[in-house]
Amino acid sequence: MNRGRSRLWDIATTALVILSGVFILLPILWVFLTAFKSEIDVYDLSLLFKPTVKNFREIFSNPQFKLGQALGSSLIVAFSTIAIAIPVSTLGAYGFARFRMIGGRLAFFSVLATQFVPAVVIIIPFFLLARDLGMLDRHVTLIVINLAIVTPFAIWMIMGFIEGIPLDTEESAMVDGAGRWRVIRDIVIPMAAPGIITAAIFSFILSWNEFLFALMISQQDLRTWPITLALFSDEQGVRWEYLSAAGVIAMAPMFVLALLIQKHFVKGMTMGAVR
Amino acid sequence: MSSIRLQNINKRFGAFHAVKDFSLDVPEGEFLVLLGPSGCGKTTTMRMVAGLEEISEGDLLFDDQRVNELLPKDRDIAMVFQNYGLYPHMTIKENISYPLRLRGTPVAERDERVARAAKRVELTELMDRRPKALSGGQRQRVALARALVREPRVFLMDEPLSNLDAKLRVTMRAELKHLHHELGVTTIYVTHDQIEAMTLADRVVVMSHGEIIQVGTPEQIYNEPANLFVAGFIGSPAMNLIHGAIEDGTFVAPGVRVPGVATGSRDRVVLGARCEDLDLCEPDDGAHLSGPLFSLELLGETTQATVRLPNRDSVVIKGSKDYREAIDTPIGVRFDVGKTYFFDGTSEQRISL
Repeated sequence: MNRGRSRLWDIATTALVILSGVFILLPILWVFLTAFKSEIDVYDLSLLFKPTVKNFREIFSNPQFKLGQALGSSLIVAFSTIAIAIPVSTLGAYGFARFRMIGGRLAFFSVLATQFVPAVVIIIPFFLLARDLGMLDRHVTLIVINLAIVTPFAIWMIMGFIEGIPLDTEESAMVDGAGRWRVIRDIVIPMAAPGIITAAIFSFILSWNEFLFALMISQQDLRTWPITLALFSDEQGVRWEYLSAAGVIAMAPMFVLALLIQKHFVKGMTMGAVR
Repeated sequence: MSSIRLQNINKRFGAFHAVKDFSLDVPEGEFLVLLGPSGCGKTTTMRMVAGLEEISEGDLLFDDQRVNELLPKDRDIAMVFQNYGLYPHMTIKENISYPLRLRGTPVAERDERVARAAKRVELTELMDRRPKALSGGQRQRVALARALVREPRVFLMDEPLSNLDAKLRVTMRAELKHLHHELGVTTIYVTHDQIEAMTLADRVVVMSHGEIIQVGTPEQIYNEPANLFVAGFIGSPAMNLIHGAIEDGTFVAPGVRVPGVATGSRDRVVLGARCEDLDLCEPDDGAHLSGPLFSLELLGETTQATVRLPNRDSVVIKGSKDYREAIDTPIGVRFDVGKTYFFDGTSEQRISL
């Protein structure tokens, strides 16, 4: 009887997994297919159509969309964010993990607490601040805002990994002749690498997809890829095939990253969760 | 090689006084063992010597130079940790050569010294593996090689054998002793295992509750315990301790009468005797102690008999390997009066009667 029930349970869970998979993947598949369809096929649900890369050529060659500029902006913002956030978070996480200081716990929770504030709550103050400082429509403003979003999260994630490094290992490096910086470079960073890489990818994804603040800050020059996508229409209304092609390009780096670092990613996620 | 001097060293963790007024001279080349139960402050003392723990009060001197403020990296010490502290992301060769790399030793010299250290602990075949792929004993040897490769002023070892199985521990113990004989580097070794302490040490420091209880050679510690704590801690099995009193020169406890040990009378006295100094006999054959046999353990070369007295004190006697008696059989024990120890039952200090 027990066997029968566990078999039924297996079938039910498998069905549930498949169903959720379909639910998540179907829109992505739809976008992917539409990106390769010509205008006539867009509203046709058939999987059989004549694929074309015309849409990709079109969105980049049509100066109205300014896609080159958008891609540039997105890359500058995302890479600058992780280039600053990851070293800063690694050192911050090390400090929180290893040094006992008065108010240390409080400082850590304050950093973490910033994550609980919904973005819409702080969007107006941020806007006023940027406007008064004359910082609207500039990459650096969006980078600073992204840092505020990404750094606490990265500190929390990397800290879990650093706390997992046995103290013996660090101390034995110190006795062997390494100073604190050398210990961080030679021992902590290599051993916490899965966490640091995971945090970097998360930070990249968050910055790359960030929409709300980018929309608020951008006027003319600073249009990141998600903003451009949202404003994607021409005189004929929304062109789904163009929008999908642009969407595929937006997703491409995520897919590549996910494939490259799958192993680290899963390990990073579960470790961060357990700690 | 260095001499080490600890002068009135104290360590406090908040309100907890972990090491109390620790003063000791360790001459150049000595193998010193800090021995005590867990929580007695022995590891904390060693960590202060290493520079991994700040010294709350007192002075630490290497070759008469104060090193309190020196960082661990500048003290020129090598340490073997209980969990070895190997670098899991480096190969064995990289692990061993790391201290040399930090000092900027030229590559050719580095390779040569790493090879020599690896050969000394028989690791030559495993140099390209990572620590994960090694057994406990092999990891232990990597930690040793990493300490050896640098020829430091002082060796510190924090329970280095405690994670090994019993057989390997005996082998490694002999290797450590031989290594110290060869290199002659001043060594401080922390353990809670009194057999390790007895076999390895030139001198043993017995510690309890952050204080030095007794310092001496293994022979002194074993033969002349200063108080009940040392008597009960050293030796395997530990010294037999019987709580009683002296009445007109005879030690008396329930089931025990040992005449001619002193003159006069005294209350609250503890008699101590090592199991090898006791003889098994018939209860009516001039026995000083008699009682039912509580247990009998065959150890191979000897047999260990235990008698439990009415006051719950246990007395262990070493008998010949052929000695056999059924449990609960009444047996007798004779003391060698010249090899008994007496302790004050209140102060727990050793007394001479």
